[in-house]
Amino acid sequence: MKIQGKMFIWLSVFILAVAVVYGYWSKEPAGTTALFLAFGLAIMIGFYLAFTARRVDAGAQDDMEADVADEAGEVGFFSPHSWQPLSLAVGGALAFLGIAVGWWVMYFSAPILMVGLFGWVFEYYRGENRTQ
Amino acid sequence: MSVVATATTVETGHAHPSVNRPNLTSVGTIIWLSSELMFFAALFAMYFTLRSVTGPDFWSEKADALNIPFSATNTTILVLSSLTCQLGVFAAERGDVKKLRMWFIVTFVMGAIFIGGQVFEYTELVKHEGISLSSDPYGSAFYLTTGFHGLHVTGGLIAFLLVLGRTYAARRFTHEQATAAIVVSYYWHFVDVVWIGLFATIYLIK
Repeated sequence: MKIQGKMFIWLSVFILAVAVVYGYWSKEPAGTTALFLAFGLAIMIGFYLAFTARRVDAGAQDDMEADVADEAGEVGFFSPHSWQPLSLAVGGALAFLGIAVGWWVMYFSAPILMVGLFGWVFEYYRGENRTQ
Repeated sequence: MSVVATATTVETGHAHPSVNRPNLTSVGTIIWLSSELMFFAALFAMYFTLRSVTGPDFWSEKADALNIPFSATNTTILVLSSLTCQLGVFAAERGDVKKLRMWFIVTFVMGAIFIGGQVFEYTELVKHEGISLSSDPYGSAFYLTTGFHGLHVTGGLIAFLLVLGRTYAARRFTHEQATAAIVVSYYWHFVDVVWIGLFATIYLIK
């Protein structure tokens, strides 16, 4: 964790330097803003990783002598299978079609979208897959 | 039934996550929010480009139509809602689901007031000032930047409802629900900070 955090923080230092030089030289706000927000992108991830690294055990990536096997263990919770994202994606695609074609399409896409969203969020809270 | 044990059939260990790894949901949310930052960078770029193309005189003439005291009040409500949201997260970390619900409902109402205020502001601008999405470059830039932010706030409001719904649907308050509350708070703080940037650019610097 520490090394990832450091990588993003160093990246942010570089982008900050670029942003300052660019802004000073070009006096042009659009690119300067984009560069400063790119600095924000890097420092946000870097700070989060560095901050979290202090609260969790040192990972194998911070140990020069580590083996691949040292990273074994539970990574997180991953849904083994789910149809809900498909429903959400179909509903979302049809909703955007509604913006392009006509708002009446929303009458048909909104229910599919809702079924997908609620189905996904509550998948492990209701029905046969209930674990919560 | 499959013979292979899947995550739905084995204990997922949410109540006692291993401490040697960060929570993947939180990491994913932070990475996604950093990409959202670049989305708003594109909107800022659009705003500044249109401003430089049409000229500062045209821009300040249009920007004078904005109701600063009203939008400043609205901004204050949104900033304070970040505070109540964080109080909800502290409650979630203590496992105090009742306080979490209370603070998230307060945050939801404050966010809804912000959106209501924004809709009112839009109506005033369209009716009395004649600024609409297609009226002129200023209208396009104004409604696209603040409108996309408004959509993000609306998405956050829906997320609050879903987190609240989860606390009611679950048998007991678990680590997973606390995670959901925490990542929604990350999103809410992010949307809040973006609004401070937009407000400073559009309403104050003009």
